[in-house]
Amino acid sequence: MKKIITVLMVLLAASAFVFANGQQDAAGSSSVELSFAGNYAFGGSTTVEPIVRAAAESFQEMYPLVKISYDAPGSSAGVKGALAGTYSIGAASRSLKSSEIEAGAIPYAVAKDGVAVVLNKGTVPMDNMALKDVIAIYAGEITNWKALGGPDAEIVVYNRDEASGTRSCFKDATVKTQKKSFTENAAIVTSNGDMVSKVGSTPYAIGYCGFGYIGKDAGTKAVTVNKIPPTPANVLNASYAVARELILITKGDLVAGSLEEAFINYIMSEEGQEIVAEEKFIPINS
Amino acid sequence: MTGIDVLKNRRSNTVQSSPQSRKINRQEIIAKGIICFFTAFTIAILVWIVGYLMVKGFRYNNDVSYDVTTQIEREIPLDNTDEDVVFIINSKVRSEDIPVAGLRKLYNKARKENWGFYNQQNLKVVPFAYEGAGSFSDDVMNFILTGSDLETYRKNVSQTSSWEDMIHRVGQTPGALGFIPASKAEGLPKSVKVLSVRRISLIVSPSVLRIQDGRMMREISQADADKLFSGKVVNWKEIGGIDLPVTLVFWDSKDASSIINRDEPVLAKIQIVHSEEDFYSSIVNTNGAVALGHYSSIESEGLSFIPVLRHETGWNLTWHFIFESPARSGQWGGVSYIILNTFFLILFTIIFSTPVGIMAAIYLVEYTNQGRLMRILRMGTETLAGIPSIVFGLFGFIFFVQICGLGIGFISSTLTITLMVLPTIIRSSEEALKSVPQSFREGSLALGASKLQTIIKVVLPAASPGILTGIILAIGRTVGETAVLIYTLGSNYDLVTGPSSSARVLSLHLYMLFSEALSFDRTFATGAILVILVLITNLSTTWIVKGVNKNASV
Repeated sequence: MKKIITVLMVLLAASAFVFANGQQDAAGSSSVELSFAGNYAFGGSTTVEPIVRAAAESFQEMYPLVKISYDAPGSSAGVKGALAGTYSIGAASRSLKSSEIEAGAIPYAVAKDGVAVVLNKGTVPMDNMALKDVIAIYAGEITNWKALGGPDAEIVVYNRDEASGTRSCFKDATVKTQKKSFTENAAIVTSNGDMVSKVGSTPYAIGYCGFGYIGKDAGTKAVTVNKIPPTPANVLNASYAVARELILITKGDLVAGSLEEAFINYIMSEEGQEIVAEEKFIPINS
Repeated sequence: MTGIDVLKNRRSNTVQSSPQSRKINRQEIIAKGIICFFTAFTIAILVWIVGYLMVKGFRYNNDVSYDVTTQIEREIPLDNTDEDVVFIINSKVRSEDIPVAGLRKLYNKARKENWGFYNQQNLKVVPFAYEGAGSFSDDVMNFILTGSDLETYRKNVSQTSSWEDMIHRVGQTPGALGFIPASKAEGLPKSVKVLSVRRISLIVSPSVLRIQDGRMMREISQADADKLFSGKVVNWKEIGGIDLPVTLVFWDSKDASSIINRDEPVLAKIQIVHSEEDFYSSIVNTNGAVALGHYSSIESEGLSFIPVLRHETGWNLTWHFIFESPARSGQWGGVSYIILNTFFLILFTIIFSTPVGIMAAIYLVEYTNQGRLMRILRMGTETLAGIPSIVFGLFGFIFFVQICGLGIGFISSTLTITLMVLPTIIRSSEEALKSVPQSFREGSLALGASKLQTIIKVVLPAASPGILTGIILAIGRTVGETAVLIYTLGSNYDLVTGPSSSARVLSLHLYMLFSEALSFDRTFATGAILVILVLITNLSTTWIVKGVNKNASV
């Protein structure tokens, strides 16, 4: 018994040593500053997650004593978390409600994003959808692809959860414009990734996701809406209707010299905006 | 028919075979057949599941959409120099070829580019350049630069002093990238390899990408692209496009003859042009036109193109994946920290749960009378063992995280899992202790040992195989646990550094990769590691129990 424990301990120590060496880093990590230190918890939207995680990784390279974690429970939870102090920076993929602004939440727009309509690639032949058809599907008025010239099959509608910023943006740009509400017969998914993998694997499915998730699942395709392709350029020239700003949130104004200020400045910098583009979102300054 | 009758019949079977006994024989055979069938079926399903997970975990098999075709060029001709250029990289970089747009980004981005975008390897790109070779260097720079970003280029690259110096430094620096003239590319050292470039695109007339009846051409497989340029495709309809005749446009007749196979008749329309201007204008103006052209001309001339799918396959679960640390939400690097976190979680869970569990079992078996209270207690542990883990997760979140104020992190999750596996350990230890013959205890007591001595020196060693089995079952449950950890462990993928640090274990990582659609290949690879880990745990159970039994009998 003792022997086994000793062997296990030695193995564990050895593996810790080997694994810890796995970190590869090229020579010449430029300026290392030690002015910030400590653990910071950020959190919020699943859409903004890739940007914040990637930015946090670069940020931690600049300030090696800083540890930033990111939880992704959704936009609303991100705002709540920022207001409650659970997160020192919250993230949301929708604009703040007036009640949240009154409570002291301050938004910083860091990127723009469009919401694309995605279909199951193998079973739905359409590559273009009229906005009014999308609205009709999500309002529950059209329930069969046949009505749109497709195969005779029930439309499987996927929608996001109530906490989602993508949902509220999509709602504002679609069903809300005709004063309708979402159909009750939609399956609810809880993240963009969940959305594309479900739509990609369910025959006759329709869903929507941020541009960053287009093509992440080989079984999905993003369709043009009113013949306008979902591209960053079309969001910037405002021809693509379904778009929103991605924001970071703090409670009260930024404290000068704080890590939060440095982090938001970093995302707004040229390098930070490059990360935004890398993650297939639209830089705010362009 | 009663059992006695059956026995009678079976006995009589040897003497004489009555119709009744034959009937029973038949029934036996059929029953045996059905049992065998279901056994085989179950085994086949199990093998299939594990096999599927393993195949998917070890190999990836994808069609990836690129702006360029699969054609690779090792040596790239330059505009004003006769000498071709060859791009070289450090051998540690796991790339063989790269689209030309990617190559330009490696040199020109405001932020240091990472190889992760091209091969999921978390490694910074270190570009090298040599400006001392006159017009050759200028030409290469013109090839790499896109427009007016000379400043970023200058900021990014490190200058070398000669071609030999370039080769040497690329070989020394992980993630390095450089270029040399083709004549120097012979006999490169092992630490340096050539990076081929893919820069031919499928340029089409905008008419091909029109939407017709709600459908449009989105992308094309390499096989269809080849078919297109062998002249066999007359209409875009045949390869998934709209109803439009195909026209192949070629720069000159030499180009045309090199691509089209002469033995077979060419069915598609062909247009041969002789100047650059004609080439672009005829692509744009001819309905259904398609041509092979350089990717750079798409940007400069504002042309349309069709993305081409490349079939990519290779090893998924590699040593790199196991030994590299995760980056970019788990899209790059590997799972080393996550494997370690899993081990730490198991270790601390066992440290917390084993002493408590065994002591509870000893109390239940050795020190109490089997009364009503005991029955209630036993029922309690059994119920706890059957409660879904998400309920423990909820409890852990409310009690440890919020009420005790431990926060989401390692200690909260370890304590919650400890509570979850305790019933398993108590139950199996109890059974093991009960199975120790009463004569052992009586013998020990008769020799004058106290009760405590008897338990420690006699009962526990005899029961140890059973207790160990329980512990390993608990390990198995810890490895596979996800629901509890979502609420108590958080989702950070760094190495655990303290009791309050948020972390990820393998099962949680798998869940995150899947639910965020980050990478299905990596999800399966993580799944394969989990399967292997559970397999090792189970094998070690038999191994340890065997070893302990041997020791006990000696």
